[in-house]
Amino acid sequence: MARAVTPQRKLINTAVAWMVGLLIFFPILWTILTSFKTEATAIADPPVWFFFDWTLDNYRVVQERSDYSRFLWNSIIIAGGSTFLGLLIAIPAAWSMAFVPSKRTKDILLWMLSTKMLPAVGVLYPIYLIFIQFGLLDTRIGLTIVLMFINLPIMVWMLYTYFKEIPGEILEAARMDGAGLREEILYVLTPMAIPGIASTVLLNVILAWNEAFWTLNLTAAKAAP
Amino acid sequence: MATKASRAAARLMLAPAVILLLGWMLVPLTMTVIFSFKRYLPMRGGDLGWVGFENYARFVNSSAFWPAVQSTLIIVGGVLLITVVLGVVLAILLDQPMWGQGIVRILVIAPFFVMPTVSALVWKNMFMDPVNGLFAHLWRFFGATPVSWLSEASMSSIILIVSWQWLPFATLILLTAIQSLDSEQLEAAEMDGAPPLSRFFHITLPHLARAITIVVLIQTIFLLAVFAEIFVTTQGAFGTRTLTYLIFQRVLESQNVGLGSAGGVYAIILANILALFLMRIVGKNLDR
Repeated sequence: MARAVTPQRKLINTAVAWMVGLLIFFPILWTILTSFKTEATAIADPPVWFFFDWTLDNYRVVQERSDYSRFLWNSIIIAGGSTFLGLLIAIPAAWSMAFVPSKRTKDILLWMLSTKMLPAVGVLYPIYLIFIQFGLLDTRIGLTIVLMFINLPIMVWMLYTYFKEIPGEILEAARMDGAGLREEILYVLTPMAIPGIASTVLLNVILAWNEAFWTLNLTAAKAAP
Repeated sequence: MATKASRAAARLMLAPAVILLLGWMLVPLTMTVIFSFKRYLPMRGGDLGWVGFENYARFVNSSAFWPAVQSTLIIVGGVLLITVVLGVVLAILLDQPMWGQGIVRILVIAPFFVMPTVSALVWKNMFMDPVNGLFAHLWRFFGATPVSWLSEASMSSIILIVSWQWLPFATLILLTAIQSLDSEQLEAAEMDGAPPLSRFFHITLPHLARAITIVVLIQTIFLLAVFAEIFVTTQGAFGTRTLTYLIFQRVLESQNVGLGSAGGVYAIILANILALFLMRIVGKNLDR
């Protein structure tokens, strides 16, 4: 919404917003700056801001000591894999609830969300045992599955909300023109739902990427992200 | 609009999600409930038989239980309050016309992309460290004695870290909602002489009600399970042991699965009390 405002007002807005933005971003900025410092400069008193000998040493050391890139790769595979698997299950479910609603649709949705209310600690040990049983402990695939389950309800919810906004008349028109279920989803629905799917994917990747509890408890050396 | 065939197809498409989630929920839950009635010490003899409600009684009567419930609720409540209030303010600010709006929005949203473990480490070592942290430098600059944040003001520190992580989420959702607010309505109110504060309380805030509910609901789910931040910073010391962390210690550190499972059941009950409460609000708002 572009309301007309005086340049002064806009200037004040800009100044305040940038100050707040930089304040919030500051910890990240500071981390980035510090990553280029040597150990001695990093703890210098008073702190140095920009004028120090920039060094890439830390990046080399972190890779040498802990094989950083392998953990990074684990993170990418697990976050991406769980999101992809989740989409495969969540899209049809959200589609069916959004376009062919029944009496129980709302209940099912609320129930799905309620599974998120189950605290992870409550079921930690059983999952641990199941993982040992199936040899999934400390594997990428195991963690991918768990993260997929954890985020599935959120995915279904988000997709449902987006699908719901697509007018049903368009689907009816497509059906009149002889589109089958498959064509309907592939050629009508999916293109319209791309923005919604994209933001679902984004949120889900972030959530999987940020997940620490299960990751910490179910992995050790090999699959640790 | 649905034909019989498409209804059957729809059911079929819904089935995998429902069945998988049902399994994901029921199997571990049943196992937890079974374990909670047993004396089960994997490292010291394994399954030692049924004990009835002993684990439940022990968990509730342990001196750590009520403080843990209390700190859980304080963290959830504190973070919710901070993120929702600041989130509304930020959303309104970011919606104003300004230069470099896109960049400012990215700056504000950035913390959400930082893993909790990483952000906890950053705050702990680079800001809250009593010797080398930036806060310590700042305090010394003004001639004050540096505070060792994580032991002296442990709760506020953790609430600060967690709020910093979740503020972007709240802001993002609220900003989206604010953008759908009809600006003509605000202008009309302005012309009729409504002062800014009453415009905010009578037009903007009611419009945001639904978005705020969603923020509160989703954040509560995640905040109840806050773990990484505590694991990295205080390890549950200095009064920051939440219910999640207490159970984690019982199960994995003291290897008492029975006791931990009973704790898990309590955590589930607590979460469901909160959930029931929230669901009623959301259910009401969803119909609108």
